[in-house]
Amino acid sequence: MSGGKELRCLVCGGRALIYQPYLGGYLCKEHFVEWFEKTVWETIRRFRLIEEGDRVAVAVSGGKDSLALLSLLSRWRERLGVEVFGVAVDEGIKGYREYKLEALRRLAEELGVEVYVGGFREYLGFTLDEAVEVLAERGMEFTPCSVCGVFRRYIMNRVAREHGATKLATGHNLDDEVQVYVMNILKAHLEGIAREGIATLSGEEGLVPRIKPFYFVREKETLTYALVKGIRTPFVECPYVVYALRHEVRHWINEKASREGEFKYNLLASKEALRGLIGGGGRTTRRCLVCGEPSSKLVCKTCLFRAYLDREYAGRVAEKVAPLWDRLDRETRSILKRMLKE
Amino acid sequence: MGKVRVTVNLPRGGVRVVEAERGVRVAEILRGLGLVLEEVVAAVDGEIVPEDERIYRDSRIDVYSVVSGG
Repeated sequence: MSGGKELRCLVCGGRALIYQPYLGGYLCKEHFVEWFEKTVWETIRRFRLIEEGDRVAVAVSGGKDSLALLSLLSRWRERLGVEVFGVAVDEGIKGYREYKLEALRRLAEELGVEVYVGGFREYLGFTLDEAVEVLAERGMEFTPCSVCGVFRRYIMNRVAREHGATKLATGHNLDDEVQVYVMNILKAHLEGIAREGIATLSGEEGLVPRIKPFYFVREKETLTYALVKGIRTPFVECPYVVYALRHEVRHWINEKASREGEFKYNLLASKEALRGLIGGGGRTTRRCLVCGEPSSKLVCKTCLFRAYLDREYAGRVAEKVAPLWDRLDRETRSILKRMLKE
Repeated sequence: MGKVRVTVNLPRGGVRVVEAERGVRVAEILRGLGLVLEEVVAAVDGEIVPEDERIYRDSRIDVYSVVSGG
């Protein structure tokens, strides 16, 4: 800016790029990048998210977080002694996913990493656009985001596993974590709070352990980092975002955080304290009765939603669960009744 | 004081032109357009700046949103 007093980096006095609320000062481009990378590196080391010899699949959506993560981890391949590749899901959302995948392909080529894409059509037999038509016909009893999230996780895990991944790294940042935490609080979903930590427990057969190297960085920081590093992602919003509770929660948290810099850190601290009290992470994984994929319930959520959306698949689920109906817990039975009803 | 003319390129593609007092903070302009500071990063004439930065001459602000889908 011309003429006025410039804001200065608290480390070197250089021109400020960003205000960091918990540091109580500004950082310049160079020191922000240094701080960002150091924070992520220390998160990986301190929580032992990645170990030498790992084959790390980065779940990439084509958005800024996952692209920044893919770029960082691929740069650190040698330093960490690991192999890195990307896995992506093509939900079949017209006017959205094709643009994101394009950004992803460009970056992957630059970085020299492979990206494997699993499609909804290929793994489930229908696209999200088609699924949303059915959801609308049935009165939007479930939101597109809740259905899509379950299917995406299912496909990500399968694609990662099929390509020999020992870790599945996601671009979830501090904002994602506190948004999901608040949503879980609103739904009194304690199991969800217990489950959503920095990493899932390893050793659950068939489930590639998930890690979140951006757990302690804010969304605004990952965006700034991506912009500074020249990682461009087209601004295309998912057309179904308006249906998500997430949308409202995100705005509420961000409005609070714009006035109170420590707000998100306090939410994260409260989440971790609560996880400590209720015992974080522990859930017994077995195999889904219908598809054989890892599941905490007798029938996994993917199969329940598939049955809800696809009559033929519903028949398959009904056939499998009929002999075991008495063994199902009340919750699963009630969900199944809802899912399988005409 | 005098006025500055600021052209703001919004993340969703819209353009707004704002007239403000010379020395206006980027934050005031963004808030005036209904933007939430935690949800955006602003670049003034191509340089990313903290929202406390003041504007003393006619400028362009490119606003990037944290919401980029997923």
